[in-house]
Amino acid sequence: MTMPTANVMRMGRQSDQPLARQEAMRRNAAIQKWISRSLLYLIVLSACGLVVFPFYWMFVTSIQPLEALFRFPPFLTPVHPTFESYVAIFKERPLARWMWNSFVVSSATTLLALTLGSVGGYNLARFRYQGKRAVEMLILSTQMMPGVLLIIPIYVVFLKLGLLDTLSGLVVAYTTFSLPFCVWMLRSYFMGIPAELEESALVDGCTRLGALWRITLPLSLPAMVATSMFAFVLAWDELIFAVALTNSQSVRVVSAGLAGFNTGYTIPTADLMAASAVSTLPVLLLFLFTQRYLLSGLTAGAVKG
Amino acid sequence: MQTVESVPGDRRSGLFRIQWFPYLTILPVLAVLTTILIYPLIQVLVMSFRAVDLGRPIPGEPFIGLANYAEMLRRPQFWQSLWVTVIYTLSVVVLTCVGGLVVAQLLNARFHGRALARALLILPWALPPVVTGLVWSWMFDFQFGVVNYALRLLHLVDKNVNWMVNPDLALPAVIVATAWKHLPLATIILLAGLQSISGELYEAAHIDGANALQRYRYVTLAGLRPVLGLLLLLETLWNFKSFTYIYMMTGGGPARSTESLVVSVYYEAFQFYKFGYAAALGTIILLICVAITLVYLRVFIAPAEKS
Repeated sequence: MTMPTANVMRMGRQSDQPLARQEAMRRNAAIQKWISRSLLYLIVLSACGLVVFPFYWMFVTSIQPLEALFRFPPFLTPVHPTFESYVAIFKERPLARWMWNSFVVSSATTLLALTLGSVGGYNLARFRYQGKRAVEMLILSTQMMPGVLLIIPIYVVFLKLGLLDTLSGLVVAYTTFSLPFCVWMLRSYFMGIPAELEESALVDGCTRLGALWRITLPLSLPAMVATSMFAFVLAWDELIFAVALTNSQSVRVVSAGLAGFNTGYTIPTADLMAASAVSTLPVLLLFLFTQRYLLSGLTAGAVKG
Repeated sequence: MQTVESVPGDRRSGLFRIQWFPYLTILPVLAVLTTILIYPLIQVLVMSFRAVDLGRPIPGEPFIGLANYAEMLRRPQFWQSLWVTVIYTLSVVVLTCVGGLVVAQLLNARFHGRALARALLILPWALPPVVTGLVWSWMFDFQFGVVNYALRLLHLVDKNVNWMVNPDLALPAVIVATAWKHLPLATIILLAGLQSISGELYEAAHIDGANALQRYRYVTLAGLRPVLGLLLLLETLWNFKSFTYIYMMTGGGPARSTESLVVSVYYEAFQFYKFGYAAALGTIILLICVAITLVYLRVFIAPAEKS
């Protein structure tokens, strides 16, 4: 639409102005464009550098022998790369155990939060009933609650229920904390799917649950993936409940394991960075595979509120 | 019932379902939230008025009124923690929201390698907070840290800075690490907001004679207002309640100078076993979070609904 207008204007100017001045203006515009482009690339490149460097540094540190690490100025590239640390963390430390525990806790949390969240989100998106507003307010208001406040009473409750120092206890806690966000995100997404689609399925002889299972759930795949990712990462990353509610080595999850890594007199920096890299890998992989859904799933919920 | 049933097109089975089905399906969510959030919340509120000390158990855990709260207000450490929490929260919120706005605007422009830049800039989101704390601690290391190396290379300092031992520098170091980790989410949310602003609005403003600054103020920022409001609220609440970064990088030290309110609660409860006092401290955090939310709702949501 704008192109023809611009052409007409340029042609109009062409007839008014001397050729040399026109040429100078064009060159000026070109220089200006070149400067703003270079500035853009410069800022983008430095931003990318700042973001990527800690990842790079974690990896480089993890493959250096200790004598190459404890020197100043530091080597910015590995001089004698070795994968000793990666062997050591699995041989000398129970990293495999921690990873497995985290994996079990995070998967169970994801499954529970997604199931409960879909039912709750669908309820809030489709039904109208007395007291619904109160339910919505309750779900939103949980976002204000500091987790640390709840640790003390949950500690007492878990002590009575025998959930203290167990993986199931962590699953229960994490499911609860991720649930409000999951319900809300799925609610927003379900609201964007026309109810008419389900109604026509009902007319065709589908049950209500069948309509949800066959129509709405497949259509909300991006939100499902984003929600699962959210719950999994929340459980994988969480630290304060993991250190407060579990104590034994056998139920230690990877976040708590890493937080308690520095117990000796010397800091095993290379091992620590290797263990950090290994514990990041599942989340990073998951993230790379789901990135496409993540953006559409998350932002639909964010923009619609 | 008679009148309702006579409404044309209303099926009897549907009517029956409306009575109980919605309540039945919301029940699981409500049950979980009540047992693990609401019931403990009430318990902790009650506990904050009692003398609960697992280190020196007091028989019967008697009610002591506001004594826990009074002790809190008397302690200089409480005011220090409150100050640390406010500084930490404000700094991270400003850095992430302003930084996120700049990066989102860059990513909204067309340039070669934009897809790659977008993918890279979101990466910190995938790094677990514990690992973020560990990596940045190593980067801020006094003797061998790469941050000191960079600062000396740029001649900003002439000898190594001891970040974690200097009370004035430990908190800024944690703030940098937290902002680095939070930037991606802010960017994604703001980018989505920017893309929802129609290009026609800019054209209209241009025709009406608005200059670049005015277009930015009245089209971009005004269009971003709902998204930016939500982001500000979430970032403020998250950072106010943040535990991992401070715990991992300084542990509240040196000499409790970077101990935020949440880290304080953790130590009071699980190191000194003063559960009653910790409950009072936690309740104050909750009250501040509620106050923050109400203020944000007034500033961002109320005017939007009016117009």
